[in-house]
Amino acid sequence: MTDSRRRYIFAAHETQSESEMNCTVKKIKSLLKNGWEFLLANGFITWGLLLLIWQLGSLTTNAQFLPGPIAAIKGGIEIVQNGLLLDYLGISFLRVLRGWLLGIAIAVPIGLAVGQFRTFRLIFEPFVNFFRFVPAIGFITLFLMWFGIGESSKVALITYAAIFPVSINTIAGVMSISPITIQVAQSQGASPFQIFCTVTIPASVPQIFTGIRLGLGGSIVSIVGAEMLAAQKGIGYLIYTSRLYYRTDWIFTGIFILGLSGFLADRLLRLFGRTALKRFGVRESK
Amino acid sequence: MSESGDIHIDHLYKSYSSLNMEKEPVYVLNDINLDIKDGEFHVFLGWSGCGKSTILNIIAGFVEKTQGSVQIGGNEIYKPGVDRGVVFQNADSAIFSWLNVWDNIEYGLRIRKSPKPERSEVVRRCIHLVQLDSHEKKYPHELSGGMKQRVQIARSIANNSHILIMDEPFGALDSQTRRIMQNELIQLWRDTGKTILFVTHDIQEAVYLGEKISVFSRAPDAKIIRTIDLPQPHPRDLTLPSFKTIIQDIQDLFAEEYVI
Ligand SMILES: Nc1ncnc2c1ncn2[C@@H]1O[C@H](COP(=O)(O)OP(=O)(O)O)[C@@H](O)[C@H]1O
Ligand SMILES: [Mg+2]
Repeated sequence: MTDSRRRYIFAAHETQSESEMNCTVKKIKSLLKNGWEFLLANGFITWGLLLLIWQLGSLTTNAQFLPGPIAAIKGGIEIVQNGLLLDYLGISFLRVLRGWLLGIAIAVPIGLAVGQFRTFRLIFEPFVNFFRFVPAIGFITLFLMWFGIGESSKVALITYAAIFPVSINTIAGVMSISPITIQVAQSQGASPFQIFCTVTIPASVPQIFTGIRLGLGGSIVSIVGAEMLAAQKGIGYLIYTSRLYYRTDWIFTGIFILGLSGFLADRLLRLFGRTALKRFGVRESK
Repeated sequence: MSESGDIHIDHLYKSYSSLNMEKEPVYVLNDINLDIKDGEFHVFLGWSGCGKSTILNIIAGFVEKTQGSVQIGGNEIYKPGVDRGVVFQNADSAIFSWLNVWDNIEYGLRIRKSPKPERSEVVRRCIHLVQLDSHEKKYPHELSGGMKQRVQIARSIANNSHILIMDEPFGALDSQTRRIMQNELIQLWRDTGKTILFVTHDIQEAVYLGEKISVFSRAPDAKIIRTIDLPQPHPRDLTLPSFKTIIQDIQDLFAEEYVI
């Protein structure tokens, strides 16, 4: 092989590998971009940043004041292992469930009546619009006095928190029904009571469901308040009292568990809405 | 005679209370007098806002009249009834979104507790009549605009309503579907002998369908300025000179209105 030819081959090879390299670079670039998109869209970047800032912040101070994520995880594992966390979670779960369901049972009928009847609306609306600005926490001592230090006062507090989003959305649902929808039932011979059962209720299901979802959020949020006083167990209790035992790390565990439970519960509820209530027009929504 | 389904409208006035705050009431309908024969295909034609929906809503029993009389077969109308089936333009509100096609059509029969086997038979027949046989399990959001209007029509037939009250029923459809629906409606009208009260603001549609056309003046203070007889058989070819003349006449009528 002559020198020139070799040079030629070499040059050809070089250009080929160069274009190959260009191609790979492009691929990697697009992979990186897709990966970044994936991480961003699924919240990994948010969480990564949070953990990073948290860990860095914790390094500047002591573990009593601000335990880092690693310390918090260690603390969390400790109470998972000794069964405390599961015990507390079960107790809080039951309280939220009972309060929330009771709230729904009270708020849906009220919302339907207020949405349907002008008189009810005129009586109830000022009341609703006053108390929805008073948070459940404002009632803690009153509820302790009225319902005692047992479960009732805690459940009552959660119920209170659930009632407003559920009732307000139910009212909106009933009131947004088109007069045409009602007229269609009337012209087919439906009585007012039949219209209420076969049109008003099913037509408001999507909004009632939105209210129920928001109500679940309110119930979970108010568990901390409900377990602030006169509680011996629970996630709220854990968050509220860990400081007294110098276990700041458990506060973070409690916060994490609370957020995660809310997130999962809402996911589950949305899945229920999408499947079981699909025909009422409950669709995927944020 | 009270046996027949003739509609008799006598000195009908309507003013909505919200318009009525000042001393002078503003009449949306001002002294309407009209006779509609049993089995007639009657079209109400006019610009939007002239009170066509108002008059239909009064006949349907949804809206209270201010003055005058509206009678069907000699009986004063004051509330909705199964004898009058309604078909609205906005099908999304007029069909129950939580019921499938079958259940929507069955709704009235079920509400009135008609026996099950008979009920199913009626629903099946009506679904067949509007050619929705393979769609009976579908929910409204899965239907096209034309199919939704068919559900509304089938529902009225299932309820055995003798009068069909249709407020711009094909207004939201594309022109092709609209023509198909118009032809089917005429077929249905001829087969069943029902009275059809049909609102439109489309002159072509009015002339294509109507046996009689009531032309409304502009709002407010709407009156029927002319009732046109169209005994011509269906299907009609609107390009024929006779129809062209009628269409031109109506256009002139509206143009005059506009100057005044
Ligand atoms: N519920 C109502 N309250 C007050 N005004 C109304 C109401 N419904 C209709 N109107 C008024 O009455 C007039 C006629 O309305 P409508 O019968 O709907 O007209 P069309 O169906 O011919 O378009 C319009 O000016 C409209 O604004
Ligand atoms: Mg109208």
